[in-house]
Amino acid sequence: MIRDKRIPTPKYLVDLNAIKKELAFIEKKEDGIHIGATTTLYEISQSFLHKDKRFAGFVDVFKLFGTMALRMEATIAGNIVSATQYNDYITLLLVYDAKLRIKSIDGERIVKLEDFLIDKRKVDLKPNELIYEVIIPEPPEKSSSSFYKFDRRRLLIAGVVTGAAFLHLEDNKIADVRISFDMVREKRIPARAKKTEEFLKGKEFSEEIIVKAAEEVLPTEMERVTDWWTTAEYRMDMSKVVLKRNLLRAYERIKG
Amino acid sequence: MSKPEYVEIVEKVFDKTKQKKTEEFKYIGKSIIKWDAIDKITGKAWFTADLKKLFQNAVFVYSVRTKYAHAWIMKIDVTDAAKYPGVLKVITANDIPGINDVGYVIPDQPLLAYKKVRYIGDTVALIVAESMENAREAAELVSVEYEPLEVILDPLKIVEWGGLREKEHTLIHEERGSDVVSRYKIRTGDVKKAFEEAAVVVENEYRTPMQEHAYLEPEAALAIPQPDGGVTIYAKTQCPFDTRKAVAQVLGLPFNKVRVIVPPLGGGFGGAEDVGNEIAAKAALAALLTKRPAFLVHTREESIIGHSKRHPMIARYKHAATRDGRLLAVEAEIILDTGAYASLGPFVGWRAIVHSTGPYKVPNAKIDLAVVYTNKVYAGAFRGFGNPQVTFAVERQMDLLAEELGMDPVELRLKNILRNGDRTVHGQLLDHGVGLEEALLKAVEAINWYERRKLYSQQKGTIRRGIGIALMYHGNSIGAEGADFSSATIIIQRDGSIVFRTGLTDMGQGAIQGLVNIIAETLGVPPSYIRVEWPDTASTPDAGPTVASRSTVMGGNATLVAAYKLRQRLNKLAAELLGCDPDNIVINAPDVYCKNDPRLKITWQELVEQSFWKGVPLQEFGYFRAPPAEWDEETGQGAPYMHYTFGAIISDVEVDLETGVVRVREAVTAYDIGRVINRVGAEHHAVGGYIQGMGYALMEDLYYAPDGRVYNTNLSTYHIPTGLDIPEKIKSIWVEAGFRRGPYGAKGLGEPSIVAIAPSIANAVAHALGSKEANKDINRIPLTPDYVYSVIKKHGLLKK
Amino acid sequence: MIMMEEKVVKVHLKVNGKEYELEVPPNERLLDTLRYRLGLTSVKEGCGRGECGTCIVLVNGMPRHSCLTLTATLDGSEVTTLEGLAPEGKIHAIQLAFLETKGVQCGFCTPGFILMAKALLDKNPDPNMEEVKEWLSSTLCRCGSYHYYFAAVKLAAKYIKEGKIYFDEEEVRKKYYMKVVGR
Ligand SMILES: Cc1cc2nc3c(=O)[nH]c(=O)nc-3n(C[C@H](O)[C@H](O)[C@H](O)COP(=O)(O)OP(=O)(O)OC[C@H]3O[C@@H](n4cnc5c(N)ncnc54)[C@H](O)[C@@H]3O)c2cc1C
Ligand code: FES
Ligand code: FES
Repeated sequence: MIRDKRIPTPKYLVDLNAIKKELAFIEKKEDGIHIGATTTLYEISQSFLHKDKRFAGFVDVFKLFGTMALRMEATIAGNIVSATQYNDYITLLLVYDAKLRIKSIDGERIVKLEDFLIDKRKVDLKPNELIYEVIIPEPPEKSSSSFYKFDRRRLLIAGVVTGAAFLHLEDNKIADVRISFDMVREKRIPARAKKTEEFLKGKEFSEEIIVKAAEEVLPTEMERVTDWWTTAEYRMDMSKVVLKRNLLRAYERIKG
Repeated sequence: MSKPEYVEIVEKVFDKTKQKKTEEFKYIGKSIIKWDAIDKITGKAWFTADLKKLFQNAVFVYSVRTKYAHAWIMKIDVTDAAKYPGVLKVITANDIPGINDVGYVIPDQPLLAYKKVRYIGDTVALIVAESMENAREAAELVSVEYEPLEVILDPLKIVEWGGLREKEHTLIHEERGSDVVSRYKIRTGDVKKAFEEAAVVVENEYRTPMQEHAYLEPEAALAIPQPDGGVTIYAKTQCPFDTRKAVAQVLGLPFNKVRVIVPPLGGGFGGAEDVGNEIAAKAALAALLTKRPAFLVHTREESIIGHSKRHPMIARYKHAATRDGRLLAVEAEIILDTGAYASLGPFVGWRAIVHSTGPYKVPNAKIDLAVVYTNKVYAGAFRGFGNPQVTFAVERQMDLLAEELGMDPVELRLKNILRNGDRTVHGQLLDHGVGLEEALLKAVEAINWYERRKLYSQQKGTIRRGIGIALMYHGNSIGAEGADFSSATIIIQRDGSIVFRTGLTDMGQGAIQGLVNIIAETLGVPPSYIRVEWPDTASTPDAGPTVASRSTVMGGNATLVAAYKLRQRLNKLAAELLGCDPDNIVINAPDVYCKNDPRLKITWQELVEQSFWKGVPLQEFGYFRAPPAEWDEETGQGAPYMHYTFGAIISDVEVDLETGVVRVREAVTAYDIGRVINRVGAEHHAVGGYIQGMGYALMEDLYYAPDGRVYNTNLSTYHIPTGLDIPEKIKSIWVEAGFRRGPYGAKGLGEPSIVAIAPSIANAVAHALGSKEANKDINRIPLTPDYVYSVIKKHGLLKK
Repeated sequence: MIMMEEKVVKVHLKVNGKEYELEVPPNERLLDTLRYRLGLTSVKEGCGRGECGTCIVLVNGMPRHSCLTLTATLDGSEVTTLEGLAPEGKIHAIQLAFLETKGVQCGFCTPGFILMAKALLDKNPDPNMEEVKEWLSSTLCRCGSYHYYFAAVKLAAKYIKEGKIYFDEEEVRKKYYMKVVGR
């Protein structure tokens, strides 16, 4: 990493290992689930989150993240601060309306993940600040999520597109839905597809409505880019597929 | 002309053991723990870069590469770099004492560019420094003035269809006056007439990618200056003798002052040929100019932009057949893109044309092939060497033909394959040892072809299965490419242990174990008596290059000859000592006895000791040269290779019609390798070759920016199969049709194991799509999700 | 906090059971410390970027890409490389299983696979095939030995369950060096 010439050698190296133990925790509290900043993805996988179907998307993302060895090293805050399109936990946490508790010697503040992300590799964090924890409001019963990414191979992939969805049903009605992708438009950082969410909210869940959301609504708020890896057209079409698959899977998880 | 003794020995051994079943041998064809396996599982094996720890005062060598893929060099200024802390020397072309060229087949590639750069990996200077960091930082200070030229990445800018004439363009190799490196052709029969008379004709264009070897060990070299002005180099190279020649030329030294030693390789696959010469020469230069041991190791990024690749191909094929499915003619134009330098391109082109009609009887053919330069990374040797490219096209054509004829792809192939007594498209008579039909039938049976083919044809839904077959043949050794010989030395030590020396390298392919098995079987000693020495130009005989699946056949023959001669001498002495006939001596070390009277016996060690006192020499040198290949440049007629390995591959895939993602679920490979010599190695190839071929079929390609920079220079963007991508099962089946001039009848497998994988997968994908129109569009690899999806979308297959 | 401007940082490491007091530049990778300072060359560098897994070692029992780890951050840690998987003169059951299943081709990837297998079996002595594949796919193998390596982990699990953990290296060499082990 240090060999990457684009990244200047820093002046100080804050070794979080020293506080690693203190900040590695997953706790359920009044205001939601608290995940300590230095909790590794593997530690998360060992927690109750991976056993609760309301957090099913956490299992999906875990299985698609880097490799097993990387999942044991990578921390949740490290993933968030990296702030690129390819930071999958950001995509997932966006559909959970996650917040961050940020601390410095001057005090602390809480910021919504969505607001924390400014642009690619640019986040709302001052040099003297540290992410202390991620807070996820506890999702209601009858809710679940799904995360999806795919590419030429199964592992060690950026993904042609990545997407997450959170679904909350009341009977068969979509009480709440949140949808995110690795990018929605312009900025190459994960973002929510809010128009599509609005369209779906309050409607009866059916395959037809999902297809309509994917085919007719999502394209009105999404712009995709062509690069050397693949085309905007393919990414757009796959975003629709991922949206459908995510919502259907979340639905089945709630029902199942 | 009488037959050379070595040919007689090989044929005699074959004739004597022809009827013997492989199970009846003691070591041949057995699963034997490889000679280097224990060192590798303990982590004790030394790869080249590991030796650095033995030379604490080594200096580091770093290559300063060009910023442009095509440009004139106006000026190189190294003053600032030379002054940078820790820098001992900055080497440019002017510092080269010998000839500044490392071109493999033709002298077109400077070690250090001085006049022109032709691809993004060209080296303009070498920094020699006390640490790698110093060297890298100093590299930033080398200032080069360039005059950029047009960057050509598309071979169709060099030549055009309809004769492959060279077009007007900015010359990449102005010194040669042409950017066509070489041309080949086949002319046989009357193609025009055949096409006129044909009941069906299928025609299509095919494209294959620039595959990267992605061996896990990046290139490394360590050079140690010698007191006499010579140099000893440890290097990752497949061909120590070629490396020695290249280094000697660059340094202006006689061959015997350059010693190249090859530690185990972390994979080669053909990629460790040219670049082995390059890095060895760079390290050697640095060592001689600084009088310090010099160490060079590539990062993955340097490895990917700095070593040869598989030639991308663009080809147009036209096949003609009768209504009942007999092939009448093949017409094709094939373009191979060799990138910035010829490397082994001329030979790759030749192998491609030889195999350009597949393992079939083709009475009429007109094929033209051109190897052309572009400003891509240079292409050279890669497992298969031109054959995977043309086999992809040919085997796709066969499936299109089957569809056109309404025939099962297996039936069509059975109608046309080469069998004993047939002639190849070059007119070569194959009078024995053609096991293709058996391989095909066994593969078909093993996977239940007809049933699955039928079942999958009826599918609906989003996820669909498909099954596809592809056949291949592959000429053994290097044929008409050059002097085709090999050699080996066996030395029985006074305590009965044995030293084995050959210049062939073990890059993980395990061929050396095959040679050990041949020694063990022939001498009658357990393989564990034998110790394998590292290839070393100072002490192992020149065995020719470790390429072209030649180790087991060519190296095997040379080893067999040496072992056979030793055995003759030992038999004779034992016969004298025991008082029975030499033919009657059984060696089953440690026991040596008379077959008709086992009580008459001595031990192996006693026999060896007696040899010492009786003056029977116990070291032997074996040599084998293949019969000269025949090739008529004008017609492509002759006998290009001494013999062929045959194979049939069947792949069963799953295609997600909504995403275009393809996964291989199951596969069967059946190869006729004459005789299984080294069972573990053979299986490694069947499976490992399949996996690498699957990468070629589905995910691997090198991508270029318009300015010639490579986009995917690391392993997260250059995708190779991971442990989760492989099919659950890859079954390997062996056919042993024998070969009179192979050791115990053996043929090679190293390269054949990748040749027909991609087309078998592509054919399966086409089957899964189940559409005649789409079938024609499965005409390029890699079959990435976006491409497969575009075909699905174009033909509206999801809605059907 | 580590000052990058400092020339060296003092680090106390226990590597393969041996204690070291090291003075390393703050930006030195664990990979380089192990390979070039301590001569533990079973640790390979295939990419330097966390992609190939050939550099995997165990830090306090957990797998770690030594190419992504700065030595200076490991003060007080315990590091295990393939050289230290078994006591001197011994071979670990996992190594034996890798030998017996005959998967090793070039062997450049093997250390990463074996150490990942160790980490897995420490956590879960009886993993199913899915888990084996998931863990072992942390390392790439270009020679294509994956199937063999997966099988090796299952075999190793069996040995360990039977209480067979260490084997005498000399005996293993005698029993296996170029020995016929199957048809
Ligand atoms: C081969 C490979 C594959 C990968 N695959 C994936 C993938 O599939 N999906 C994916 O999402 N990502 C992937 N990644 C990227 C991965 O997200 C990051 O490497 C990882 O999540 C970062 O975690 P870390 O703990 O190692 O962070 P570090 O690399 O240690 O830190 C990253 C950044 O975050 C800062 N930081 C860390 N913790 C805090 C804190 N508490 N407060 C403030 N700043 C902090 C650091 O200073 C640094 O700037 C991959 C990376 C590699 C090398
Ligand atoms: S060298 Fe560390 S993962 Fe490749
Ligand atoms: S054995 Fe060669 S990379 Fe795995």
